[in-house]
Amino acid sequence: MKKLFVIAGLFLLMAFLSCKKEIVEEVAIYKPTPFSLQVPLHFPIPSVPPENPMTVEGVVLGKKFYYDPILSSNGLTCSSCHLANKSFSKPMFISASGDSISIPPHVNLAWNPDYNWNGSEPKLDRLCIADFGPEFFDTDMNQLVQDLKTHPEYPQMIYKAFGISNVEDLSHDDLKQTIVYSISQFMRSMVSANSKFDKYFDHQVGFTTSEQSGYIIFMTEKGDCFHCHGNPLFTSNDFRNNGLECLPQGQDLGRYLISGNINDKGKFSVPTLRNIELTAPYMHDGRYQTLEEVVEFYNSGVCISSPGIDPIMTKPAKLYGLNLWPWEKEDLVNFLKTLTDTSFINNPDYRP
Amino acid sequence: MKQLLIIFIWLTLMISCKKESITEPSSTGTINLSIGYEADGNSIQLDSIMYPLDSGCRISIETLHYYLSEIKLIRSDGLEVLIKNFQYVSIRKPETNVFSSGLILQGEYKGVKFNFGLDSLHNIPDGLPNSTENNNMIWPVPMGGGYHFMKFEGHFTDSSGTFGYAMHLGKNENLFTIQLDTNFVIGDNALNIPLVMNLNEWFRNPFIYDFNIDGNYSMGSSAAMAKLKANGVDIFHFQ
Repeated sequence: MKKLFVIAGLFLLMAFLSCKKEIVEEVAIYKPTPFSLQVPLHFPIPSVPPENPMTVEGVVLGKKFYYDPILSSNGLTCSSCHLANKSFSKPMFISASGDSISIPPHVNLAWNPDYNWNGSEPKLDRLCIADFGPEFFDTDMNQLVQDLKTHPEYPQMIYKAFGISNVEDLSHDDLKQTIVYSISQFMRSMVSANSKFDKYFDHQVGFTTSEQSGYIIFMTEKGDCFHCHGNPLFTSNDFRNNGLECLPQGQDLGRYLISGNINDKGKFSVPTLRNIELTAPYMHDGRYQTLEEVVEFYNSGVCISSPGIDPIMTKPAKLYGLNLWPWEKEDLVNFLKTLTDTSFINNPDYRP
Repeated sequence: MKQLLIIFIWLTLMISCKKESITEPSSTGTINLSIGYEADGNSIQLDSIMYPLDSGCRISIETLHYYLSEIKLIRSDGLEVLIKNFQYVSIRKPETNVFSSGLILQGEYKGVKFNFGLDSLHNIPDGLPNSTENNNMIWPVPMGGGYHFMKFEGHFTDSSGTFGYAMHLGKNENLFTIQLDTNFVIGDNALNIPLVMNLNEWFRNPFIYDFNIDGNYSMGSSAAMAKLKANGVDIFHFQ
């Protein structure tokens, strides 16, 4: 009889434990896993702001938001303007004020010190806040709160990433910031460093004769591209006037519109050339449709009298144009195409 | 019990002796080197074309990045004490213009010595840590590899108009050493040693550097770089 009681007791204990286990599995645990950003060889260590550390859960949540029209009242998503096969860019955008703007790609943003062509946003973790406005998502914040609250996945994902158990507890501004934090984490995770150039640099593949010639033009005083677009990021991460306009006006004033410093007239953020083949049209206003047009601009179209033009742009060798032969221009374009990283745009970690 | 008491007393004595040795006056100290800029005594206002050179033009200063390497203090007995392997400096980044030594022996010193540029051990591809600043100073592999020693850029105005200039320096043969003699004592308190770079000195002594004759861009010109190297020896002085 005593034996029977012991067996029954053990049975009850097991049943209790199994029930308890079931309950534990139902409740999400806020214990985010640190995300280990793979920093490519030769790349600097990126700075991740302490207020938004990268976590696996944050990146996963950010990716879901990036592709989800739940954020907008018009069906738009981040990916509407940042197409994967365009290196997460889009050919063109016409702003509310009527300006044509070439949309910068989402590539290696973890290393950018500022964002947008004129550097209007110094923080990646604030970059997308404006997208909730009428010009882009035109978000109905009350609706968004309800949609998130009743969604089968988001409440748990948001809790796991940020420890927020009820989005209704957040102000609309705090909710936007939380969403943007996650999207920023996802964008920081998007790293491109596996182009043909990278493989060449690490002695894994060779260049064609034309690519090699273009590489030499790019990396020597002949083409002198490297001073602003050096390896490994292919941007100097600063603002420069490359002589697009002799008398910059309107949006062509660039950095000056933000800083108010007259020396910044005509200066724009130097874009990375990684995946440049995929991100046409070119320059801040998309005035050039092809890489051939861009090379021709540097070869013969720079306005050297532009106020505040970068001193590098008026070297004697450049003063009257680069004087490249037609085949040298072709070589330069072929080298630029070696910066295309198809493994980046096809990476399932960055795709929906 | 008696044995335990002896062990206790012995341990107490040992600990107290050890403590005493820790609190002995330290025989090491530190120095902070800081770098300021001037143009013949005038303070620098970046981006303004206002500084007259001996050649007759006026220049602006828009960019100035450079490296110092093998930074040493010279003790009064002539022994050289290495305090830093290399230092990246940008005129626009104040934090790069101040750097501290580690702990060094207290005592009398008679000077400071360093290379302008990177020593040959560091002036190779991937010779420095991959920071954004270092990467922006890379001297591309097709031109020999390593790093720019200096990028000094701006605009100049003369009777024929306004033009850009860019004085870039690099390659091992253009490394040069600067020695500044002054007596100082390193004691318990950190010593501040302010250095000043007179930017106009790049363009005079022993050679007047004239943009219209020597070129307003030194890149690719070994003659221009040689003049900068010769002129650069006395660009620094103590404040």
